[in-house]
Amino acid sequence: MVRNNSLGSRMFDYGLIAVVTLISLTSLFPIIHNLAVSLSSPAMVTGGFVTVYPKGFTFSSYLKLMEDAVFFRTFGISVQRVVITTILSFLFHCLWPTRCRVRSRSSSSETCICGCLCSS
Amino acid sequence: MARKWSEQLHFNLMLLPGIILVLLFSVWPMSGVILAFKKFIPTKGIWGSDWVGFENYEMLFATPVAGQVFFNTVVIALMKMVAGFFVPIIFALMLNELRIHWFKRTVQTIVYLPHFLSWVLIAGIVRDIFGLEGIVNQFLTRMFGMEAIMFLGEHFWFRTILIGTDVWKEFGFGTIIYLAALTAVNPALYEAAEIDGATRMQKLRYITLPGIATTVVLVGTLSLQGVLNAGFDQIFNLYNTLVYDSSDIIDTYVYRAGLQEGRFEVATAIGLMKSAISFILIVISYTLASRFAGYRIF
Repeated sequence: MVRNNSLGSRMFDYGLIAVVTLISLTSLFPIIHNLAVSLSSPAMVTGGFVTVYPKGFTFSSYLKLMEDAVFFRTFGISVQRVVITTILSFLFHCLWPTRCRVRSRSSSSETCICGCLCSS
Repeated sequence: MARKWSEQLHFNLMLLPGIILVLLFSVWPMSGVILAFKKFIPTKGIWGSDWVGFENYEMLFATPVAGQVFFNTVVIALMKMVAGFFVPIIFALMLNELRIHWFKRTVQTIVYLPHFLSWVLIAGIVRDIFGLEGIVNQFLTRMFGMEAIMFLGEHFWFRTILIGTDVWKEFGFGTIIYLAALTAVNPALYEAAEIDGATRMQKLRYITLPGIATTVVLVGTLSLQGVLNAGFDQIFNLYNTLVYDSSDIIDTYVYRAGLQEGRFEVATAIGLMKSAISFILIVISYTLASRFAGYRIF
């Protein structure tokens, strides 16, 4: 493959990597922050000292959750629903004779995309 | 062509469970829409209540709330549609320009992550981050000495957050759709263009964009049907009385007016109107999609 290795092109590459990294960090940060908060001591959290890693490391909120009977009941119901709906929808989708078809002009990948769109 | 009934019997039997399911859970409950034209009295039930014609609608249009709610829904949904349309395209094009393969894959996976979280969870995270004592306000007050901003209590900021978090959550999914479309572009075209001395922008303009044009049109036209769905899950989990004026949408209003205040006939009337408009929009978007992108279900 012919590659353009001029200075401008390389600068563009680095800039692109920087922007993309930044965007993926914004995707990741709230989740990491949440994890850090869940593992920190309440005092540190309300004081606003927790950002990326936990401070005053403790499992207390998880231990509290373990004692909560309601949590396990609701969790059980969620799992139950997922299992039942998966089995039922799998069954009915298999039985249903028509399938989502796309008369695509060019490629097979489009068909696959539209399949995703229909099922979602 | 026509086969005998007995030959088709097993096919029809296979179809039966699905049809029963649809009749039971989709078609039969729809009969409840007659409530939109009745005055609901719980002791008389849905069928026994008295007909009132269009009285519910007259009452609805007489209140200023209805217009506001309708306006909010369309505005929020349109802004989400526009932002959610362009961001994935731009991001997919950016990823497509990356030359390091593992990096591209990793980024793709990371931005796809929020799509799997439910709005209940994300609402918790958003409250954590944008709340009065959240990390953003801590940062603003400490670094810039600014006053804490009530992100979730001011009309402008609340709408911004609604659209921002929606785009944040879903753009990874859209990106994957476009990246899948990009894999279908023949690499030989790029090589030929490079040998001919095409610049990056020229390759983008003449190879990549035409390559994903069909998918772009398809996704765009299909998103049109969502113009009255501004996202109940998200708004219901985030809003509060302070921002009702700017962010109370049809769905949340129906929930409060219908289920909490017990005015089931009004809620049904709004719901029916919304379904009717949505139905028209779905037909329009499907027609457009089949005409411009060759998309057909039947």
